[in-house]
Amino acid sequence: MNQQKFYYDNKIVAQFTYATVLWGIVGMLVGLLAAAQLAFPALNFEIPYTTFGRVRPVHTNAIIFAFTGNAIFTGAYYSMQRLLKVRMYSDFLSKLNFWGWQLIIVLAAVTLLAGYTMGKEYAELEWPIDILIAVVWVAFGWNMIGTMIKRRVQHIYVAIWFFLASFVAVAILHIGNSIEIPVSFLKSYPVYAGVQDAVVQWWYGHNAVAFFLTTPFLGIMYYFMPKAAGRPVYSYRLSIVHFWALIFIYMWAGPHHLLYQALPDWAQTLGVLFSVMLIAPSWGGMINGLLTLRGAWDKVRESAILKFFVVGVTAYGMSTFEGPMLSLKSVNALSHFTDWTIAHVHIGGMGWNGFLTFGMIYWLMPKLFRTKLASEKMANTHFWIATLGMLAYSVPLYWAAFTQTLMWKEFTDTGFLRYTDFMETVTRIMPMYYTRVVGGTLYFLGAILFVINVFKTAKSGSMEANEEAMAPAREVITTKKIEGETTHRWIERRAVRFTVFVFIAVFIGGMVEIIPIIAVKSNIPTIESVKPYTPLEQEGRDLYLREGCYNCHSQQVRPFRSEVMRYGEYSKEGEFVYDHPFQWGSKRTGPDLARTGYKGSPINRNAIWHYEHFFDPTSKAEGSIMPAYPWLISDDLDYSDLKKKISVLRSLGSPYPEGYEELAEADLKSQAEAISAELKKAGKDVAWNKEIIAMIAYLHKMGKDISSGGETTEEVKEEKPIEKVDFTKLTAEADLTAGADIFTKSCAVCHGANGEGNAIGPNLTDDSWIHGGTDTDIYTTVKNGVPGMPGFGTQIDDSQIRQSSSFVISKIGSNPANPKDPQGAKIVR
Amino acid sequence: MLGCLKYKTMRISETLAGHEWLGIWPTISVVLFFVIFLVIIFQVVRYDKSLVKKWESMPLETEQEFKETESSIS
Repeated sequence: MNQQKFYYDNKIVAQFTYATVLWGIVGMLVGLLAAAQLAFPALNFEIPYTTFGRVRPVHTNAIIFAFTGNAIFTGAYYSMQRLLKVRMYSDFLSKLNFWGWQLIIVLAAVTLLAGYTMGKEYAELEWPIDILIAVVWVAFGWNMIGTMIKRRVQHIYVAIWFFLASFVAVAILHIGNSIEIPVSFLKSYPVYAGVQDAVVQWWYGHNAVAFFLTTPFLGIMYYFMPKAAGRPVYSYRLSIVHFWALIFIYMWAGPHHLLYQALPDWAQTLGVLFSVMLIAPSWGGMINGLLTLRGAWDKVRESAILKFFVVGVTAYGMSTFEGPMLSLKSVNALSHFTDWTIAHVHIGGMGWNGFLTFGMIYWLMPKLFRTKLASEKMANTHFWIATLGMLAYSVPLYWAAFTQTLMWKEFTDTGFLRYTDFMETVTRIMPMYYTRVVGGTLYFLGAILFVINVFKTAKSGSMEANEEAMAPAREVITTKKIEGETTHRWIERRAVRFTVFVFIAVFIGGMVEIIPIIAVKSNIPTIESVKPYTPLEQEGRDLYLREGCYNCHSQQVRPFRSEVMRYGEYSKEGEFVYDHPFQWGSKRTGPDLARTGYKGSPINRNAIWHYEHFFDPTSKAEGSIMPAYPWLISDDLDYSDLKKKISVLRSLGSPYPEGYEELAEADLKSQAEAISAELKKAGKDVAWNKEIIAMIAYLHKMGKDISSGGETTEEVKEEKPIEKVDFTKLTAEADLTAGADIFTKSCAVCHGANGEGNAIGPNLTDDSWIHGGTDTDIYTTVKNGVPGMPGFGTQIDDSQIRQSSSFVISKIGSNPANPKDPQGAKIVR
Repeated sequence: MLGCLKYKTMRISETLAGHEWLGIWPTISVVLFFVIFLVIIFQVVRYDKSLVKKWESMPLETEQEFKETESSIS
């Protein structure tokens, strides 16, 4: 046969390999910092650029797009040339792909730390970078499809199908989710609002996992695992079936991120159904990977590469079993918003993506540099440290999740929340957060060994930038259907036709869910009282995005009794119609914030509380792991884009009247001055144009519009010292009986029938007192109230207060049944 | 650009809104999936054995490499 000589481009593969190694280390190090910040909040350093809300998106983006992104390109560029027996279609596109992608990564890291963010998880990057991503991604796809077209072989091996599907799907997802209207060079609003934005975002977010972290890695598995094991894949037929099933089903499953949330029921059901179905094609892939080692299991003992592959594929199997399970509504009710999600993704990320990447590069380096791996022993050590690290990372987080979710949902016998203070559920899981840091550190140390090994291997050999290869000349690939061949064979044979069919399979699922939600008004019932954000509230909301608050706080009260009691009325679809973007969040490291402006919500706080809390969270919540935000208090609010923001938001559907741009600034100022004046009453002199003022305005907006009654948040009261009137207890029998009556009517509900205390109020019969235990103190407390307890001075007359106070005093030391543990300071009477 | 977006969504909502079509939506989806799924299985089963054999050994390229890999990890 007519043999042709050509050259594989090895340089581009080596470049992507180096980039993978470099960004892997950076991404893991940033992740380690984020984990450490949750354990030791001092590591936020009280400066904007190093706070958790900005660091965590850098970690997720670096791992997903920089580390695994470059790993995908490494695998694709190496395997495609060899499977198709041809050099990449265009060296220019290869270079554009490489340098463009690295530029995106650097821009991403800089802008995210500087606070430029869309506020949507894994889609945080602002519009100029989004455009750049689209360009570079198309360069990759063009290069790939071009290579497929000029191939020298008849059949396109299944690994390439997975790379192709990844290209097609990620292009659709990225463009679909990033349609945004710019306000300025680095600020834009997504065209979708609220529920629509949530559906589009999680259609994207879920499928970023599917088509960035799953399908390309299956491609890597299908090429490199047979290579490393020296035998073909277990079942090629199975790989075809599970390919189509996987890319078709994955697209439907997005809504499982929004179960029990403000989303139409039919969309939730569809999400659950397809998530459960996903287990079949996912396990098809896992089984095919593991059984590829049939007859080669003995080699696993020696080979670090195979160890990485085996555990990586097993982690894939575990994650893809856990995923459907977490999509069941009953399980999701427990798992959502907890560290369960974090543990789940780290089994996938560290196990599947990490281990497959390590295995692939350990296999690749000796091939590229025509040498042996520098140290097989070091690679084996890496494997064991990384495996231990992964376990030490995830097991504590599962434990933390179970502990915390059960605490959030626990009720007392009398029907109140057992742990009313969110902080109790945080301090309880701190030991798990410490252990998680240890696990992350182990995994990172393993990666350091990896770097050393890669570096030494490269040094010991020499790379052939253009590797010579021979292959028979191009076979004629007909467009027509050959007699007797199946339709599938006809589809897969031609690169472009195949791409079109992949596009259709991927497109159907997303459109079925998204079009009805965007198109049909009845799916999102409007609430008339919900008003658009005032200029100040909108500016505050943009600060909320900038600081990445959504990384730790949700804005979505699910319709569970435990959540309604803790936060207030559950969230409705119609509340979010002006939210560009939505900020429902997916993790509650801190409490939900959907009801911070809702009258009667237990988490509604006045302006001065927020001021003090932002300055030092631990001053309001002992043991809080939230970073301090002193710059919100010292920095001036930049509202120079206000006019543009108003017109962009109007064009997206917020009903600001025409010409409101000119009035907006005055409105902003007057609302800000009111808040500033309120803070002044409590002795805090904060100018109206400080950032904190806008933030407080936003926090007081959330949930405000659906509160009954106009005014929502309690105003700051001027601090007047409470007058203490000396009180001597009454001892007459008649007074005590009258006092007992009042106690039963007014006090027992919070302090128990015999003063023993319950979930709300403290025990009144022991010798510990929170607000002072002298006779005068007790009388003053009953009369004037204390935070959390009303004063009865306005409800009953002074003689009755004296009678009830005397009754309380008479019960001290009575040792009733079921006493609550002592609270406050011991008082010797 | 936005004007046209709004216009389009209006059109779709006029066509689809207001009926019991929502309930049938998931059903159509599942049926669609299973039909495609069965068709693919049917076709894949019919594949020529020797062809599949050839395809699945594509990553291993040559007999030579097959042996090399064999010896490098054992």
